[in-house]
Amino acid sequence: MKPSLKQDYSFSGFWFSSVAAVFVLLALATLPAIVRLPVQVSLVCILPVLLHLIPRGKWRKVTTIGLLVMLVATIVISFDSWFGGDAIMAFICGLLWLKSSEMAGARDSWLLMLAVCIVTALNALFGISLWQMLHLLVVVWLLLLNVMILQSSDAKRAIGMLVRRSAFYFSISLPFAAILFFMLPRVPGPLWDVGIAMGMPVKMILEKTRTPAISGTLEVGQVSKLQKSDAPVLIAEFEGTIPSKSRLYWRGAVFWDYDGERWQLAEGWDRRRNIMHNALKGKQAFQSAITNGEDMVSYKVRVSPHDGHWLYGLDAPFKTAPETVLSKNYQLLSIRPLSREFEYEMKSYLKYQGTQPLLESQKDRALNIPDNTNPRITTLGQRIATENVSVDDRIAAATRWYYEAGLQHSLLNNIDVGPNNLDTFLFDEKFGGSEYLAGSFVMLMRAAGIPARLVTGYRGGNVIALTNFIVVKQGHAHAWLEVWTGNSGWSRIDPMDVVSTATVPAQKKPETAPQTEQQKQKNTQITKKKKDKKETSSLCEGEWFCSWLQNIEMWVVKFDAKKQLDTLDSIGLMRGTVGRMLLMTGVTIFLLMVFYMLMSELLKRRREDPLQLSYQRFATEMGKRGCEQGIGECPSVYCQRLSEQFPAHKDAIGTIICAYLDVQYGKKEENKLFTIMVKRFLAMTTGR
Amino acid sequence: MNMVGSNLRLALTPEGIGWLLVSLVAFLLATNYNNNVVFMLACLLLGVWLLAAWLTLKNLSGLTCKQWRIEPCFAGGDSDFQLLLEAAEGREHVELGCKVVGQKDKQKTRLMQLNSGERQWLTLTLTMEKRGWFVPKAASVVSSWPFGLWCASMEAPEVPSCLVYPKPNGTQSLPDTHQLDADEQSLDDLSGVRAYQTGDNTRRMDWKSMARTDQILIKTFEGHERQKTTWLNDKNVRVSTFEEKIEQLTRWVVECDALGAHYGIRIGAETLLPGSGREHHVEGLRLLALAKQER
Repeated sequence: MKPSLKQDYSFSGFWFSSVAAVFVLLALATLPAIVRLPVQVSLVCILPVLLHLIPRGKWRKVTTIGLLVMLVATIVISFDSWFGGDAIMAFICGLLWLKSSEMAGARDSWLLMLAVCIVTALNALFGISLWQMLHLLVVVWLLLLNVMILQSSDAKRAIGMLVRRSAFYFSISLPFAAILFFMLPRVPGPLWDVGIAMGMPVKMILEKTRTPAISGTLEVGQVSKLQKSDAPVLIAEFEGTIPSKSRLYWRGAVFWDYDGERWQLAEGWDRRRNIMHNALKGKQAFQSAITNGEDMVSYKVRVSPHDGHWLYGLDAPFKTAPETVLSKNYQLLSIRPLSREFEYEMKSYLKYQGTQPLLESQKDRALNIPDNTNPRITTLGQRIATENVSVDDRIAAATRWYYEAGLQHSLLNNIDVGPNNLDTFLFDEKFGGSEYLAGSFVMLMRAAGIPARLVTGYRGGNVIALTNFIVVKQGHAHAWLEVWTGNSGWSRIDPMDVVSTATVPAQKKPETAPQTEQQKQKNTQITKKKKDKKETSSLCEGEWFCSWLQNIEMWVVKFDAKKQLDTLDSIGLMRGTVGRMLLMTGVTIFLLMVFYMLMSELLKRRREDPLQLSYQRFATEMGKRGCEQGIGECPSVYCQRLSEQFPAHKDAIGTIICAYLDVQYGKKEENKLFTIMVKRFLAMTTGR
Repeated sequence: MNMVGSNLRLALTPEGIGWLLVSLVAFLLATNYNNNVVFMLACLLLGVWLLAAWLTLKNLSGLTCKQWRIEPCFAGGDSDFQLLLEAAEGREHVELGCKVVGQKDKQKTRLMQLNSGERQWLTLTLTMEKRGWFVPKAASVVSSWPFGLWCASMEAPEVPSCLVYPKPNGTQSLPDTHQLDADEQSLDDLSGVRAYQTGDNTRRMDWKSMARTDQILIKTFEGHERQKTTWLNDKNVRVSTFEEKIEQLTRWVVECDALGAHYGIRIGAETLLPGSGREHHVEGLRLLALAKQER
């Protein structure tokens, strides 16, 4: 229901202040875009300001249309596509400035102000920084000031009060915002992830974004290419809690053979006959392949179609589903190529020992180093083998070497494909994708006499908040390796974690190479913190400021769904469903409102004049008894009327009114006495 | 959306709905792009929206509506409905307005501020269209301060009815006094004399008695006096519709009053005996405001 409050818009002062405030708001909101956009586009965007110099009428309309055409033309010339972020932003900014020139009422002002919110939100998508946060806060405060100016009937005279009040209201709205920010359930985007978790076909999402997955051959740089894609690969729904993302290794192709440039699967591996031949068959085979399995998880997987045989199971799967087989390399494969979305139920042991014996032929393949390739790795491996006797020591020594080498994981690399590319990566460039890390480690292990193989697949996934769904995307593409440790069978090593801990001081190095999951997580956290510190350190000088910036980074910029749940957990609010979290948010908001109400009441009581309160009480009571004080009636006149109406209390009434006038205009210290007099009088005369 | 308090109501305004939608868009953008700064903006907007609900409600709480004061008016004109408001001690109320149900485009309110413990008249101006009794529906004190996202309203006491006089209109000039002889009564006998009062007809001065007593005396008669009385008769109005007749008669009444004339009104079977002055004027207008066409 709209209040039909009609305001006097003709008041020039009102319009002066209102229009000026909207302009300031618009200028500030579009400032980041204007600064970022090409100069010619920025100029055209703010050109409509000049329209105010032209009197309203035909000529202004014609000029507006001309400017609109100029805006469109400039955008077409300056940007490759209309749908780019900058092009859209430029168009919106230009339109808003054009609209501001024909603002003709409160409705137009509202439209502009709400559009300013959208512009501010879009600006924030171009990058996150503390300045942007500060900008956003100032824009919201200005927005409130504008809104209050619109509501005020005399904004020009009350502008000072409006500025103060808007600042005050803005400051007391911050706790509401903070509660919502920290407690509202978060859904990790993009939003179509929610759609696919709820049953939208994965193929539909993939139609335009299909990226070739790893097939029979793995070239260096291929995993990095995949990681740049956002296309979903699979959606898994877990029974119970989703394990830590760092433990989720979605096992795909296992490569034994390396020719110096690329990893290859055996010829004809994807023929149905070969697939069936290499599959584990029967309960006995499963039991002998994987022993001492721990941390079992059950889940349901939907895989997007890719016209290949790959299916993915968490390392290591130990169950098959209809139309699927589990190979001797623990690869889950489909009997037929996947031409449509495929769904299966699976169980996996996150911790296990594979005790299948390593055949001589397999051992040869797992120790093979192509001739005339990567001599420096071979030398290093041989040195490690000479200096360390046991397999564990060799692995530990190699891991330590990776720590100290200062290697960094990167999607970008400048390494040319060639027979020595792993040498180049490990000793020269030191930047590369996970396949470089894993591939070089495999070669190092082989050179040190330890059988090793490369495993590809995906690691982690995007957890859809407060659900048991996880979406794995091409961006999660990963490569790791397995080494043969004798009695324990194949053991996983992920050099990514080793690289992640490269910045940890030498004395904190782990003694054994294969890290436990807890260690890995800890190391990852340390590295993250160090990275955060590195990012913020460029912005600040003083330590306290750095620390403050880091806190802002940690609690605002990087506050994600996981951190939210952990925080709620740590303050004693248990994890719950979306409904429960919403309820908690609602209750907290309600409590904050109650707190504000109490504070307001407290302040009100402080502001009240006890003398006026007592007199008000006296007048109200006498009004109830039939003699109400008139509007603006002088107390002495009122006293006369009261005395006439209540002759029995003439003296008492006279004393009270005289005392009131005395205190009001003279002896302030008798305030309490007056209150007592009123109370006594009312008590004595009640019911008479 | 309505929230009902004791006698306070809170409703979302279209601007409030717009604000909420923008917050929602910001939430969607934040979620889709996993952007915490946009999420912060969405939370700020939503926080302001929630705070506005409380502030708007608080702006009206503690306010007391006392009484109405209404003046009759002519149709087509504006009538001021004034409501006496009183602020509680320690409270101040900003940008208060008033509205009557069902008069969306015909009402105008002058927003006002009320300081702690203060009493003031809040004026609501309504444009009246038809003559007769205007019986307003429920009225309420409203405020959308501070942000205009919510509108709080408080029920006002029952609004008294307002008598709307007909619109003074028409082109005919006042009827000629001489045409009204048929309506005059014959003079009765002389009943006595009295002292002269300002405004008495000098033709009735009793010169003989004055010569005897040196006092200015005036003759008085029993029954109606024969004086120049203007009868405003609907039969003398030369227009087609009844409403036009009423409007013409109203114009004559206003003109007669302005001239200080002695006049009577006859419309259908209703008659207002001749007279003059403020009360007679109001009586005449009231008769015309409530006049009904004979069938």
